[in-house]
Amino acid sequence: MAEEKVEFKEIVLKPKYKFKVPVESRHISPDSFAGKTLEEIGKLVVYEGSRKKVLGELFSFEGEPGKTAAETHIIIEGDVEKLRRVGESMTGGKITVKGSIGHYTGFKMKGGTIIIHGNAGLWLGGKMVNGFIEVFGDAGDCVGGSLRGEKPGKGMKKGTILIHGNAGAEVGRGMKGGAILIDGNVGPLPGVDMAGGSIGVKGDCEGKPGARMTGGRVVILGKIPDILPSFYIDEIREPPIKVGPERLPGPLYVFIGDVLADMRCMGRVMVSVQSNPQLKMYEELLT
Amino acid sequence: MEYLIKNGYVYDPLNNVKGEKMDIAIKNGKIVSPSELSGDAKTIDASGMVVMPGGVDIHSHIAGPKVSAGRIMRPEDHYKVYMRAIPGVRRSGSGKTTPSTYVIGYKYARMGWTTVFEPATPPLETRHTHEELDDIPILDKGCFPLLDSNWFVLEYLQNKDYDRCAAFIGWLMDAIKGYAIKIVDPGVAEAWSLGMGVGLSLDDQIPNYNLTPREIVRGLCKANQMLKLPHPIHVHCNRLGFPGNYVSTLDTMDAVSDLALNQDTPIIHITHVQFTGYAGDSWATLASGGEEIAKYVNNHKHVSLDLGQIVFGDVTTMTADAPFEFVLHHLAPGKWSSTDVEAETSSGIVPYRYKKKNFVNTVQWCIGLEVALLVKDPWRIFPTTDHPNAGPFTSYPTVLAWLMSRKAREKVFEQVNRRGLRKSALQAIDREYDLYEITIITRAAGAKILGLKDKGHLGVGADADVAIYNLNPEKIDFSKDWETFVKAFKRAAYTFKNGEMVVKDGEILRHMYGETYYVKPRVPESLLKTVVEDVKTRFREWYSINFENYVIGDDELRAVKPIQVETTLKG
Repeated sequence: MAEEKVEFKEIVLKPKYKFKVPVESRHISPDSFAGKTLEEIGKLVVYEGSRKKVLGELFSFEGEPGKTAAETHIIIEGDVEKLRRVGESMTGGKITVKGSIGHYTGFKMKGGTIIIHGNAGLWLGGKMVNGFIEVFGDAGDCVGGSLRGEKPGKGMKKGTILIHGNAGAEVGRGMKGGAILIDGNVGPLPGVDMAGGSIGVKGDCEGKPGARMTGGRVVILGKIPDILPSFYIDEIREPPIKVGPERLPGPLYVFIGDVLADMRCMGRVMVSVQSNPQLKMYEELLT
Repeated sequence: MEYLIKNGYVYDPLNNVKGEKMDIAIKNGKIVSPSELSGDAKTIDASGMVVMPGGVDIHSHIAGPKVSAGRIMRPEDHYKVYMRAIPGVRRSGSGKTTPSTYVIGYKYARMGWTTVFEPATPPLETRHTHEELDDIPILDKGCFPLLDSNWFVLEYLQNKDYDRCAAFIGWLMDAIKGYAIKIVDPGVAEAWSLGMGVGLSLDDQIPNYNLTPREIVRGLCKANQMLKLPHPIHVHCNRLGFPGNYVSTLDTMDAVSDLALNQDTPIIHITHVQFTGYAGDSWATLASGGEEIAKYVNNHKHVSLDLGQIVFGDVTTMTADAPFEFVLHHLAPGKWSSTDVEAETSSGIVPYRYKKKNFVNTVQWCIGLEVALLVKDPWRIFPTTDHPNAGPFTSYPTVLAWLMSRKAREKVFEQVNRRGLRKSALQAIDREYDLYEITIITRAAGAKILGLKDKGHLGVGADADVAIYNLNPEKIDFSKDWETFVKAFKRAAYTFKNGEMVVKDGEILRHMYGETYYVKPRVPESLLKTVVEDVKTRFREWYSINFENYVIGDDELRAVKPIQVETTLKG
């Protein structure tokens, strides 16, 4: 991912103690920090459980933020699994987490970069509009996903999410555009309610890829237990297919669907031929 | 606590008070004359403010199994709109089109409304409705049981046994604590449960019964008159939601015209008339039938209407008219839920979004306002949004502003579908409601048609439900400055419920509970006995629960207020 060449000003956040209850802080983002002094940043509101607190009570600060969001680099040191909504609606700049982080990281983010060196919680990059997220550990459920009950296509719109570990269930839920690439395995239902964009999985999938999808593609290089009965085989694709920054190699079975969600079958589920000998029976249907 | 509300402009149509400067005194939950107050009464300076009775809403789906199902179906409705709890003051909640129970009470009270009736509850599931109504704070409430497809009712009507039908309804109202007869697309639930068709016209045969919807409406209207229930039959017409259905609405109103015996009070209430006021043959040629409906209502005193006015934005449609929801699900693909209530009724839920640029939605928006502005008698028209079908109840101030100001309507004219706008006469109507008429349609008329003698007015002896708005009718010209009106009506300056101050400056002050109204018709012993025996014997065949579990006791409700009714039934 091409990063803009800007001089970042760094600000380092260190938690003062280990959080025991969820901490909701939508103000930990370059947009809120930009152009403020450390004292002003310390007064930003956070909720620890149901209690209203200020950022200065939970974190110690070093460095200084940039004048604009794009020049600000926030570094969070230490494991903050209970910290939620970091980088919500951020429009630029960078957040680096040197440890694990909680749910809704990069929720609705509109630009910028988030790098997480540990694990991420649920709804990583949920409803993301644009930007770049990279996770070196595992991610939870609903990566880039829409919230519960929302219509298909209300999830991630654009941008890229790279996950070097595993991911949970419902990756790319309700996704409309952009790319999610996962090096490890994923849980069930990747690409559920999907209307566009692409999901690449280099590992195995627990099943039901592309349920209720009306567009976009899900590429799985590892094993899957089965294909949903509402998908039709279309072809065997030999050339590699592009997902985000990478090309995933063929040959791949291409299934179209989901016929239950859309009669036109605009969605594609592509599954590696080599890893899935149990799908050989579909080849008979191709002739 | 005693209060003296001083120097407000009082609007009290039932007592012919039209914006006069008066003092209103409150003592022990009732309105009293100011001389009765003791020395330590708290004085509230209402100078430059409008003082009205608390609002009365006759049609708003606030409780019951379908509302609960709607909440479950729509988590996305609850993410953005929420209310934080303030310990000791109010409790928390969320939701816009399907708010949770506490929020319903608070939001109504914040607008100055204090009495709300839930208009559709299947008798079998009314226990659930009452559990939810009990949970709604501040408001006084009641519910209308659905009786149009009830097997007992259908059988009595088929045998033309109106006495027993009336006696059965009388017993049922008391047994399940209902308030009035609700008719939803008569007979259709019966056809739908057999998988036949998507609706019936007024003279179609109901499968398995030698009956037509017309006979059901007439029969229940007769039963209503025999029982002398305080509210007329509450009818959701046949063919609702289909183009060309205004004819069906006119037929339904006309079907009972001969039963009206020179009464001043209406004998049939047509609800959410906007949904049943469509002319044209298809969705593409949809037009407004509002003019014809308004003409009929102006010429006949036996009908009253409520609007079901569209408000653009998200809604959750929920009705006991299951076949229509099936049709709507195909018009607006997405979530859909449908239920059949054994031996009684059915229901469906579909989330929907009204769009300004949509042709059909624009015509729908016009019809409601057109009817409201063309009907001359404000005592027989009610500005509802059929919450949450056509819009959330929180948009009442906006709807009222459209009625009060042509300017407010013109602002919407600019934004909506041009072709749709030309399909009604709305653009040519100059009428603007004044504040006195607004008080009638939102308060006095509602209390009058529900037969609530202590509500909707500020005379001595009335319940002390008072709303005070920060509006100066002498200084503000509502037709120009409608935005001020909307702002004031969204957050009342004060709301009093049973003599307690519950809202001040638009914020909730306390969590308290109102009463549940129900009717208790006096059915002659011998007739009651035969009917109950009849019900008991067939209950085992028809229902999956025991008869004893069907009846709801007074002790199961938080606070009940039975209304004794003398019937004309003879033993």
